[in-house]
Amino acid sequence: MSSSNEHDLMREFVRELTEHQASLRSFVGYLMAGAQGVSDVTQEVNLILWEKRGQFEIGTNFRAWAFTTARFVVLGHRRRLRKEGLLVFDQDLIEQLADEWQAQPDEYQHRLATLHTCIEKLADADQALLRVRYSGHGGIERMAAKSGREGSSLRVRLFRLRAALKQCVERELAVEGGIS
Amino acid sequence: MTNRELEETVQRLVDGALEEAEFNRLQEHLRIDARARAFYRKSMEVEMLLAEGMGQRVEIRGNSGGMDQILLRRRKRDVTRATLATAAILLLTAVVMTFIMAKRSNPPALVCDLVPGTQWEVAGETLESRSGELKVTEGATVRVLSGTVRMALESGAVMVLRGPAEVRFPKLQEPVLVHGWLWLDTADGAESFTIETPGLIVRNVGTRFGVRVPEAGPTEIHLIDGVLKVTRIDGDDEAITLKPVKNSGFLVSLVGNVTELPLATDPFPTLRELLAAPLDYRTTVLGQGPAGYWQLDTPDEKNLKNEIVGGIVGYRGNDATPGKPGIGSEGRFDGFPDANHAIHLSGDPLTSVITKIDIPGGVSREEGGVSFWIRRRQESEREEILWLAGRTPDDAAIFPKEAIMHARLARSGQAEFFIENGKFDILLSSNFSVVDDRWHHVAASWGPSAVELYVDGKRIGRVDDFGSLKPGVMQGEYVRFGKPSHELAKEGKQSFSGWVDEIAIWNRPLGRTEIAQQFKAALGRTKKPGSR
Repeated sequence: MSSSNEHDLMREFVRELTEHQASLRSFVGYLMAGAQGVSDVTQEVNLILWEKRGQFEIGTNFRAWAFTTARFVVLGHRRRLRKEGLLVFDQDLIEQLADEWQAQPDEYQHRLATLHTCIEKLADADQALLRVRYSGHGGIERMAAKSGREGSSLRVRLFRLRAALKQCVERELAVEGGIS
Repeated sequence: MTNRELEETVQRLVDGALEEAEFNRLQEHLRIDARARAFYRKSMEVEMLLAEGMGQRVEIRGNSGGMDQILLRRRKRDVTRATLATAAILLLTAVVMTFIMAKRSNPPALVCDLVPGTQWEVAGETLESRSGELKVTEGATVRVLSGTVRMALESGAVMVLRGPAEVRFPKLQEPVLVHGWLWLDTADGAESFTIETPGLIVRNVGTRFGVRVPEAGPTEIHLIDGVLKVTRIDGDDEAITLKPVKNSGFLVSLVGNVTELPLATDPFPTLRELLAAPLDYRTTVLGQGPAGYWQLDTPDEKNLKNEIVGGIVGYRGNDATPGKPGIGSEGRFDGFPDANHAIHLSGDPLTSVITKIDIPGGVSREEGGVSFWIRRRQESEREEILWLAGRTPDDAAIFPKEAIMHARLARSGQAEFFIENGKFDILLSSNFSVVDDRWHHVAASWGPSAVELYVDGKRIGRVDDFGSLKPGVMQGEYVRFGKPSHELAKEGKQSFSGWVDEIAIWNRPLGRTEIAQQFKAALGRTKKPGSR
């Protein structure tokens, strides 16, 4: 292979990995069901893909390859968590969930953009609550103390916001005809 | 569980606030209810989208510099990760030091011998076949791209790794088979071995056996002698005990179901001879573990010898005539010693055919490979059938009425490969003619991830968006070379009129490197196969 071809291959590999990074992370989180270490596992998947980049061929289904790799890494991580006595899904269920996720069309970026649209429709206070919960810059309890509200009331609010956002995303996509 | 309950449970799950009993209830519910799984998927998707969209996302550049960020991105506030990173560095240092110390004290190793033509990698370094002692120590990852590697321990136990395959050796007696074929003969059985595959652990109790992890589907276990214990990595259930069954191997699913399949050929009896043989096309093909290989070098016989021990013998029709030694390039494939023959097919619609080029268990529609050499003069523009695997729906005839898959020559001389696959038939074609009175190597590979066509060692067609290949098996008279099926004959396709040599069939997809190695091995003997 010429160095020019190698360069093209590398650029394409990096482009694919970059493009699928968020959905890969999402897939790992979904299979791990709230367990610790989503970032670490995603990182491990990236490293394996990087090590195996020599097997990558332009035009092949990168998503299928990456997600299958991720599935195996999650299963490996699951074994470790289970040994530590943590709650993790059974292997069979993980396989089933993975199959069903991979059977879905890849519209992650579109869903992310739709979510942003939905978030923008929320009141400022609700947006702030989401930021606190998901940005990692302080806990719900800290925000409760700061705002003078009960932590439990914020959690209820968070519950409703998530449900509303989920409905909003589904509704927006259905309107666009982008969802079955 | 109502939708409301499910939603609450999922949210408590992502908040890390779920009790074990609730978790188990959720898991049971997801297991049996597809709607609940869809609900969970959408909930988790929004959760991960929120995590991504509300500040945890790190911008990634779309060039090679972005790799650093992808591989190294960290949350600034994540003290735990920094601690882990430090621990990892310390651990790595410890591993390196251990490795150095171990090297000094001459650690146990697998001494490797290679079948000529083998291409392999140890820890990322690609190595061609070469002389001298090669060793693999604990911690190594071995990838065989093409060919066969024999690995022996001091105790006399021998492993055979047949490419394409990848094995990690956290311990020499506990290999982890990522994919491909690993055979093990524990000699006197004194040593305990375990082979880990995705989802299973195979423990030997004094055995000779092979394990295959295919591209998709359950692990295969081929037990020649002794007893094996198989357990699921994640199962609490008791080990499954496997004992040899005549002519049968075992498929073991991730949930522990065991079904039988045709026993693969034991590689050990022929290994010594293969290792000592010179590098040529034959050793390269044999090193790749075909299920059937007909060199077509038995000129005085109607029966065509199969180079695989115990393999199915082929048969040539009256108008399939062997070439004789000494007739030069006319009848001889150039990549072989002088004793090599080829077969000339006259193109007669009835008797110009090589039949019964079948493999144990038959040719699978779902995965396999075929390779052969052809040579044809530029005489007429005919659509001609090369290799064909077909069926007769009612099994009432000894000839294939339908062709399920076949290789052919198009009217203008292109090599083509076709698979009948329901709504999504697959046709691959070269964009150049191979009808030029020169020898050409043609190979096709099909499996769950791709169908590919190669000419002269180069891939000239690939398709991977067909969903899946339909199941089914073609056997016996229905696997042949040179003659169309009834239906193809009705479409005007004709019998092949030219030379054919070295037909080989695999029960697994062939890798790109393997096919390139076949062609390269043929080049190595004399002049370029394409030349006259």
